[in-house]
Amino acid sequence: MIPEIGLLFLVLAFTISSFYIFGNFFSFYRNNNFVISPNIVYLFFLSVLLSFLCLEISFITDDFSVLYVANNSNENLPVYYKFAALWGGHEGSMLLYLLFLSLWILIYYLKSQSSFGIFFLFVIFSLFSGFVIFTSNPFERLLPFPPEGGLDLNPLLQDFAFTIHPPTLYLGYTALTLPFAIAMARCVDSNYKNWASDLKNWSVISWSFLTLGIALGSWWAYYELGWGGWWFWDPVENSSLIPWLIATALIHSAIATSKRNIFSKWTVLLSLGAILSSYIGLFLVRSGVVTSVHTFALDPERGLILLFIILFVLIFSLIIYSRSKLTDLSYTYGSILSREFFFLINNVFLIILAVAILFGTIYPIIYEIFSGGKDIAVGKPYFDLVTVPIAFFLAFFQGFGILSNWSSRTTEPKTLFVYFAILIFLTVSLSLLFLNNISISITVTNLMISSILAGLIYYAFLQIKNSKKVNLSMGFSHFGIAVMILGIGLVSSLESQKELIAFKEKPFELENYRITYLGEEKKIAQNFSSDEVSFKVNNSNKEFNLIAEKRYYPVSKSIMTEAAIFPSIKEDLYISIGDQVEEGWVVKAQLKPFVRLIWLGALIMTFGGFLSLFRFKSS
Amino acid sequence: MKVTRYIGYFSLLLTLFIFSVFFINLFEENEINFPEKNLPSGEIKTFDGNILDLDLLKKSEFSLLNVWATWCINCKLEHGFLMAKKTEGWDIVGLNYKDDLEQAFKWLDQYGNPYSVNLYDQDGTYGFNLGVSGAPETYLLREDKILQKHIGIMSEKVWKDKFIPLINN
Amino acid sequence: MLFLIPFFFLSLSLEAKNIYEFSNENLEEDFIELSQEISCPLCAGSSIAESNSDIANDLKNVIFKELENGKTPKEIKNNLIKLYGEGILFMPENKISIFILYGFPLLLIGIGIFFLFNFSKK
Repeated sequence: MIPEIGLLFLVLAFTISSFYIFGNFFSFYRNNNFVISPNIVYLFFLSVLLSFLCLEISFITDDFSVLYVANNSNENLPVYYKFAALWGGHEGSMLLYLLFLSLWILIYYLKSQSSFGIFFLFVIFSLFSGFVIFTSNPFERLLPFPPEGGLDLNPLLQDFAFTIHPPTLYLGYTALTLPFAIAMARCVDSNYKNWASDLKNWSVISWSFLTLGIALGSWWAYYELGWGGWWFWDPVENSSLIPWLIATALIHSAIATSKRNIFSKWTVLLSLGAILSSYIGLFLVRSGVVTSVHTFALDPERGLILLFIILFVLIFSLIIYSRSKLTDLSYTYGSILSREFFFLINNVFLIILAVAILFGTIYPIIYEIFSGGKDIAVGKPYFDLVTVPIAFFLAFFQGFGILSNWSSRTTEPKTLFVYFAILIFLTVSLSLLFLNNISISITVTNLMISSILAGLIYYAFLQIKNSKKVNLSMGFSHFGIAVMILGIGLVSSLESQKELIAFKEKPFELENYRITYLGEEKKIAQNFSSDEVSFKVNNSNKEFNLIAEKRYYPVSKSIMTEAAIFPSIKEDLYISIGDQVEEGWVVKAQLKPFVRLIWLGALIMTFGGFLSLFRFKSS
Repeated sequence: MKVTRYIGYFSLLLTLFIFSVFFINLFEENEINFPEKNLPSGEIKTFDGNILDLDLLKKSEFSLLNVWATWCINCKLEHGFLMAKKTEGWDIVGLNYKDDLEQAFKWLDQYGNPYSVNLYDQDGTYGFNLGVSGAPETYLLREDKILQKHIGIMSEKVWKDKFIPLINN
Repeated sequence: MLFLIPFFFLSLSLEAKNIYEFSNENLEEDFIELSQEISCPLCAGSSIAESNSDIANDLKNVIFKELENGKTPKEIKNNLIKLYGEGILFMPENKISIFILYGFPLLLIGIGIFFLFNFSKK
C-alpha cells in the first residue's frame, strides 16, 4: 500500500501545482490578484515530502516488490545506505529533486512578495513532476517475481559521501530555479521591487550548495576511486561545473543590478542560462547520449521527453523575455577602472569558460553525427588547455576588481599603483617560499593567488582606514578560491608517485617516506569481505601504519579498492593496491602536496556564500 | 548595442545547434557504424578442457558471441533474453571472460545454458584481441565478420534497434 | 671476499621490484607518455596511467610488451584504435577535430575581447 500512497501524494502535488497554473492563467494576463493561500502551499510541500517518505519507507523495510527498490538496494545494506539508496538511480533521484524544489518553493513563498514568481516555479514543478509520474515512476511494482534480497547498491556508492554529495548538489541545482522564476516574474511584472536582491540571494544559496556539492564529489572521487585523482573532466562532472560557472557570473550580475540598477538584461539572461545549463546537465546524465561511470541508464524516449521539456522552457522564457521591458536606470558604466567594467570582464570570461567546457563535453556527440558514427573522446588535454589560461585571467583581474569602485566614485590611479606594488611584493615573497620547486606552473599559480590576495589585503586595509564595513562574505569567497587555486597549482606541479611490486618486509622509498608492506588480513563485513593490506610508514619525524583494502562484494560480485591515505594540509600520502602477485602486492604510492587546500578552499567559499545571507537577514 | 545583438543571435544559434545535436543523437542511437572486422583467430580453451581453433569453429550465417562472467551482475539481467534467443534457434557462442571455471559451470547449471559453445578466456587474452573492455558485451557475427558490438545488457530493444537492421541487410 | 658484504646489504634493502622493467630508458619514457595519452575505456576520464582497473592494467601490459618488441608508439596507438575505436585516445587525431577543438575556444575569446572593447568605448 505504501508505494501506492506515495504515488498518490506525488500526484496530489502535481495536481495542486497544475491547478494553480491553469487557475491563475487568466489572472496572469489581466494582472489580477492571484488565488493562493498559505495552506495550499503547505499542503503542496507536505505532499511531496510524504511521497518521498513513502519511498524511503519502502527502502528501509526492504520492499523489493517495488522495482526501483529491488534494483538499487539489498537487504544486507546498513540502514543508512538503504536510506541513501533512494537517490542511487534515475527515478528516485528525480523524486529527491522534486522534494528540494518544493522545499525552495515553500521558502520562497514565505519570504517573498511575488506571486508571479510562484507561478513560474509551479510551471517548472509541474513539468518535472509530470515527467516523473508519467515516465519515471519510482513506485512502480515489480510483481510478481521480486529478486530475493534485492540486487544491491553499487559498491562505489556505499560510502559516507554518497549520503551527502548528491543531496547537496541537488539543493544547489533546484535552487537555480528560483533566480529563473524571479527573473521571469520581473519580466512580466515591472512592479516587482527588490527582484534583483531576491534574485541575488537565491543565486548565492544555489551557488553555495553547488560549490559544496562539487567539492564533496571531488573529495569523494579522490579517496574512493583509489587512483588519487580529484577531477576527471567526466561529462557529469562538467555538467555540474558549467552551471556553477554561470551561477558565479549570475551572482555578480545580480549584485550590479541590485546595487546600481544596470545589467538587468544580463541578470535575466544569466538566470535563464544557469537553469538551462543545469537542465542540459540533467539531460546528459540521464539520456544516455554520453556514457560515464556517473550516468543513469535511460531509454531514448525518456531522453526525448526531457529534451522537449527543456526546449519548452527555453522557448517559453525567451518569449517572455522578448516581451518584457527591462530598462536600466543608469547607462553610464564609468571608466575602465570601474567595478562595473571588472564585473563585465569577469562575467565574459566565466561564460566563455562555461561554453568552452560545454563544447568539449558534447563534441564527441557532434563528431559522431557528422562522421557517420565514429567514436572519439575529448579529455584532459583539451579541458586543461582551455581552463588554465581563462582561469588565469579571471584570477588576475579579480584582485583589482575587488578594489575598484562603482562608477559613482572614481577609482583613483593611485590605488592601481599601490595594488601592483603589493602584488609584486607578494609574488616575490611567495616565490622565495618555493624556491626549490620553481617552475612555470608554480609561477603561474603564484601570480594568480598573489593577484587575489593583493586585492583582498589592500581592500581590507582601505575599508578599515576609512572606517567602512569590510564585506566579509565577499572576502571569504574570494579568499576561498585563492586557496583552492593554490592547492590545485601545488598538487599539479609537485605531486610524485612510485608504482611497483612490494615485497613483504622490504621497504621502498618515496621522497622522504620509507614504506614497508607488512602483510594482509582477511575481514568480513555486513555485505562484503576484504583483504586488508597493512603498511608501515617511516618519515623523518614520525612512524605510523596504514591499511589499504581490496573489497569483494558477493551480491554484485564487484571488487573495490580502498586507498590508504595519510592526510595532512602539507601533503597526503596515498597508497593504493593493485593485484596480489606471488611475491607480494602491486602497490602505487603517491605524494599529493597540499591537495587538501582544494577542498578547504571550497569550504571557505561555501562559508562566504552562506555568510552573505545572514548579512541581509539582519538588515 | 549592435554587438550585443549579434552575440545574442550567435548564442541562440549555438543553443539550437546543441539541441539539434541531442535530438539527432537520440534518434541515431541505432545506426552507429561499426567498422567491419573479422573475428580474430586464435586458440582458446573450451569448458570441456579441449583447445579450439577459432578458425575451425563452424558458424551459421548469423551468430552471436556473448562475453560474460559470474562476477558480472548485469549478465544476470540479460540471461533471460539470451535463453529466449536460443529457443528461437539463434547460435550463441559464450566467451567466459576472466572467470573461475568451476563457478561458471555452477552458474550455467543454476540459470541455464544459452550457449552452443562455451569458451573459457581465463586471462582475457582473446578478449583483448577482440576489443573487449568488460562484461557483458555481445557481438553480432556474420560467419567470420563482426557486424556490430553492444556493450552492456542485451535486450529486445537493443536487438531490434542495433542488430536487426544489420541482419535484414 | 669481505668487500662483497656491503653489496649483499645493498641488495637486501633494494626497493621492491618495478612492475615494468624496461630494457632501455627511452622505452620507459615512451611508455609513460603513451599511458597518459590512452584513456581507460570504462573509467571516468582517467588515463591508463592513473587508473588501477583491470582493463587499464591489461592495456598497460600490452603496451609494455609491444614496446619491448620494438613497435613504435604510433603503431601501438593505431592498433588500439582498431580494437577500441578512436575514443580510446584522450584527444582525437584527425585534423578537422583538432582544428575545431582548438579553434572554437579561440573564437569565443576573440568574441569576448571584441565585446569588451566595444563596451569600453561606448
